[in-house]
Amino acid sequence: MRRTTGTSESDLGELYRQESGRLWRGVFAYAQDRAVTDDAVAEAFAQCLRRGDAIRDRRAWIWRAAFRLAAGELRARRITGPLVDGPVLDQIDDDPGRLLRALRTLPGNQRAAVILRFYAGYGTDEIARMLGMGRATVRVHISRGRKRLRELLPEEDIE
Amino acid sequence: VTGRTFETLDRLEVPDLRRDIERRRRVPDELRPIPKPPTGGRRVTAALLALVLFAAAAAFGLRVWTRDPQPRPVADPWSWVGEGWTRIADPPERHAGATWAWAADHLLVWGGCTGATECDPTDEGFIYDADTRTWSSVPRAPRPGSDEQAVVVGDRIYLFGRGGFGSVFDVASVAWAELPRAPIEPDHAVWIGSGIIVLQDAAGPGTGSATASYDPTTNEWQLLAEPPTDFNVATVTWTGQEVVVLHALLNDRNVAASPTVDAMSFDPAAGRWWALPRTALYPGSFASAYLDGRLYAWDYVTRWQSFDPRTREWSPHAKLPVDEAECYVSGVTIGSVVFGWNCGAPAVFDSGTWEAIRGGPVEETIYSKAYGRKIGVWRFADLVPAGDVLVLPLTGITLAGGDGEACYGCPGSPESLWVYRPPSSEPRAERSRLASASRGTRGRMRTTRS
Repeated sequence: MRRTTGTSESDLGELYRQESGRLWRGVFAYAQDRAVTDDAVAEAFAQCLRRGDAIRDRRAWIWRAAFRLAAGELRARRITGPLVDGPVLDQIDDDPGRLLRALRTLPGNQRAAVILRFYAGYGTDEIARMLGMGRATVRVHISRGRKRLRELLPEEDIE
Repeated sequence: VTGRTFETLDRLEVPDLRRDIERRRRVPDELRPIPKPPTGGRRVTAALLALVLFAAAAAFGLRVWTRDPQPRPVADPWSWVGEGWTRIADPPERHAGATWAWAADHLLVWGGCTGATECDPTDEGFIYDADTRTWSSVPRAPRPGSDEQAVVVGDRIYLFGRGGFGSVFDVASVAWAELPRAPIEPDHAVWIGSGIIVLQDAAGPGTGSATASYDPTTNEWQLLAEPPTDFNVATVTWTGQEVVVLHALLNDRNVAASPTVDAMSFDPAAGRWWALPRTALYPGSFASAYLDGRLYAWDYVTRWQSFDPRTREWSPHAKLPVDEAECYVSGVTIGSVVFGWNCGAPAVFDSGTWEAIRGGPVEETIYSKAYGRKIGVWRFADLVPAGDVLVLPLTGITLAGGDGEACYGCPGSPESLWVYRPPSSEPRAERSRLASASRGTRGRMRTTRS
């Protein structure tokens, strides 16, 4: 997968065009909440703009920031008992709907790892840095997540 | 390598966030810290801490094992609740027809009627953390509801309401999701280990009783074989092999089509219904609960029997040690005992015998001039198995007019919330979890839905 690096605001506009759709879908598959996803993705891009040249690999930084923001929000909501509007994915009765429902059964870190691996296309080292865990742990998460998804979606191709 | 399955996510519609990003970029104060995952240092600290805790636990466990080979009980969020009755804090709001359920060490109260005269269902709810003893609000549900059937599966509470509409609340993530609409009215529901079986009451000519199943894994409904007999009052119990249904068909004047409570069972593996021997119980109101391979059932005139699913035989009937009362009875399995509620007179079945329960709300009385004696205040209860204890949301009576006749369900009826722990209740056991997952063992007089 192509890596985008750059320093200018126009580069960021290009990055938004290239990456926002995939990033939003990846974060949504992880958080399964539109409000959390919108907030995490917008905040990640806004902070990327603000930090300017200090960021070397903008694409990786935005993915990392968006996933961490979403994870933090989900953790906060669980603690404070707040507002999650969840029914969106259950109204989707097609392939992405089935995948989203299957992903929802995975633990958070496992879910993030398989999305970053199979949808975003990151390698084990990058995922380990993004999620703040060891490479061996990431490999275990990916292996178990893939096994679980194969059980839930036996007709699908998850390699 | 990207799995083709994940490419299906590309079909999801994506919002345009550019204006939001621009707004955030222009207001630096709105930029907030990005949460950091645990660092290597934190992981080392956590690993060391885990090692110390493991060593301590191993030493303690070895000492305990050496002294007493009994297994250690699982942590109990109700450890602060002693045997017998304990009153706990009421939720911030509570409505008639609210649904109560226990999952993942939390008690949910949701929905109910908000209207003064007609039922205007609400979508609001609250959750009680037994560990911290505090209530907090939960997000609004996808739809309102009242008098719903609740089935607990792991951390999730499935709620089935009128019109076949349903929703699920995940206690762990504090999130709601809507369920696909059921093909029948889910008047009764029970978890059978691999899915939820729902049954529909007969509502009159042309609308007979029906059965369907919901699979939480596939999120799909399936119509099942129709019950051989129509009913509009029933208790539904899963034995591990079959769904036993005690049932009756009452008319508008509560006159039953059969003189006693009838019984049948559904075998999910074969998809077939079987007739069972009828009981000796009166059909106006009855309850049942499953314990140690037997189904215990009783009625409002306090007759009780037990049924052995292996021999297909009912025991001779006997009397409960409580007074008769013409109102709804209910029952549930809690830990290693059966708990029966008979209009404010509870009894517990333990070690082969029934015993009346005293104390707590049972002793609260009010003097009625009309009856010339004291009568019990707390008449109606929901029975909510909650681990090793039972939670009872109670509703009381008021005295009407000058003569002090008891008024049931009148405005101003008192409410309270109690926890009952059976004497010497065993540690949390599999049957306790089964009981939690299979509420709804109450057959009651037919009422007209508003």
